[in-house]
Amino acid sequence: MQTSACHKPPCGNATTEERWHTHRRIVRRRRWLVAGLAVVALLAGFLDLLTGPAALPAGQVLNGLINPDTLSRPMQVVLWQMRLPVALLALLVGAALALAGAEMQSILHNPLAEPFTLGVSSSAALGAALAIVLGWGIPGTDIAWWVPVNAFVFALGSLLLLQILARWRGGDTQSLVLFGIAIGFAASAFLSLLQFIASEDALQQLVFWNMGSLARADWQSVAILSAVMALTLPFSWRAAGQLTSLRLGEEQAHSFGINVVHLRRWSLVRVSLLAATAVAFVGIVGFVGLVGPHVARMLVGDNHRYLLPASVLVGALLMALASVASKVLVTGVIMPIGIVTALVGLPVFIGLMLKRRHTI
Amino acid sequence: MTTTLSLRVEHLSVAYRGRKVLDRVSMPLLEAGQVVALAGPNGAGKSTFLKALAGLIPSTGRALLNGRDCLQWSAQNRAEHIGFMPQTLPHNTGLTVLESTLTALRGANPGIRREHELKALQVIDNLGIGELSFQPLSQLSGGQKQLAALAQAVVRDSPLLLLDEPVSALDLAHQWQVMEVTRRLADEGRLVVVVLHDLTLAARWADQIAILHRGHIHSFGPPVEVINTNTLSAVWGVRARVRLCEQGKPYVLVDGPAQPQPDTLHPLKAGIL
Repeated sequence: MQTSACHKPPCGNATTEERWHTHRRIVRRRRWLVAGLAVVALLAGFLDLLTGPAALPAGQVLNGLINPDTLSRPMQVVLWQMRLPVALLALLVGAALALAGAEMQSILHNPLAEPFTLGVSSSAALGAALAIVLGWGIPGTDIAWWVPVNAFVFALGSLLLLQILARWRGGDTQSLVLFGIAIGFAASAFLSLLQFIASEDALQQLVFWNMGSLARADWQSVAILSAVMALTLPFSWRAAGQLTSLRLGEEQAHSFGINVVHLRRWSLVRVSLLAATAVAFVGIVGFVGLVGPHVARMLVGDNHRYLLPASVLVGALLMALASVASKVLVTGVIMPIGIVTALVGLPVFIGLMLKRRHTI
Repeated sequence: MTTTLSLRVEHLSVAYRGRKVLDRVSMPLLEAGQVVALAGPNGAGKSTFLKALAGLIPSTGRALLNGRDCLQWSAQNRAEHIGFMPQTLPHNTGLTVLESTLTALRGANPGIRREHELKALQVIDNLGIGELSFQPLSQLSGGQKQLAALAQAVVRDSPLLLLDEPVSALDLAHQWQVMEVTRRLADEGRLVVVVLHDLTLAARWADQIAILHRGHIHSFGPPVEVINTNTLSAVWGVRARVRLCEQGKPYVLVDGPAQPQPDTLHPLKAGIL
């Protein structure tokens, strides 16, 4: 746990009752922190709505959200068809990736774990490349959806393949990480091959997809990612206590009566769904899944009853701020969000590593 | 505690990649109220024996807890009856001592009530680490971490406690404290099986000592019967004197390595090559 989450302990001769009151104070503080994060994430999302080439005053936006008819027709289009899907998708993608990262770090006992370190991003990019370069798509699906559907199928497929391979080897964490890295390298190699044979236009499209972008946001993608979050969040919440016990080691968790194999399997299913859906709609967005859980851990500690909601909110906050930054960093240009998160995430991550060398 | 617990281990075997680490290990009936020390050289299979009993690794044979084979139980059922303390805890966990103890108490069943929280705090206090309740495990010394791990093992009031080297990182005073707690837990009606390297400590606190050697039980019985120069030479390969203290407990003074037997000499030195 970290200094911010660790209250000054009571003096050595405090009674059990006094220590219990200290414990309750810590619990209350964490709940307030999570509530505070929710407010800040919502404010960041609102700031994202206000930011863009066309000036939208805060009052008008608020009124327009409650009653769209108060806005002029062009303003309605800007707010409801352009800004709002982007802002919501940013919040949702950040939340999904950070939740996936938090669960993954716990089940793999690895602070560097996130969906993308296990080859999800490379696999999704390979799926997208097959659609962009070779025009391959799932038969029966709309051609406009080939890229996200391919990315989703390949990302999900890579994580399921990872599960099968790791299970074959006994399902230990080391096998999962090593097979994940191997799948990532294999997908990258095929991706390079496709890039090598791609036409100039296809290559440009592919490179842009790989950079990650919220520009493709629409209400359909928001609805689908919302549904996936709504489906996975209750199960993640239910597993929070068991995930906490994994922080004490696999043997300890097992001795507490937890079926670790079952827990890890279902957690990976949730992670697969969250990461694959997020990457399908926005492309490769790095670091949120890695840094989000670490920032959350600094704030609320390792107890997953607080860590999971805090990770969701920190991830949403980071993505909303990255979305704002992507619009204001270069005037008149919307930078790909993946570049912004990597640029911001890298120094944050190095700072965390230096500050928390004992616990990362 | 008023449970009448008994444990009988029959033909317990564990193999890693074809190599038998435990080979059909059996033990006489162990009963509640006893502290049973497991001793033996490194690699003898002591920790493996505990982990197999706790159901943490695959094994064959039977471990009859009150007549029922606990090796066949679900993890949750085992957790109700068996408390396990590992040798080490992960170094990078941010959970506090209290949180980790609560996590152990909670196990697979959600819902923390006030009495649970008070109980976890009481267990921590009893182990003398109350002032560390809100310290993250990652910031504890090795010895403090062992005490925290012990709190996790005992908090569920399991009638069978399996402690894997609970004093290996502790100073003399804390060793005494942990062994005193261990003795008290047994006196309250639990069966405690504890891995110890220090034979003098084992002799001081244990009712029975099981000496494991190369995956087999070499000897089993009260300390005064089990600890002798022949066993020390045959199992540990040391030349040692065994004396009795005022309470009649044996203690060990090691003088050096035992005289090597001809078949254990290096082939060149033995003149074979």
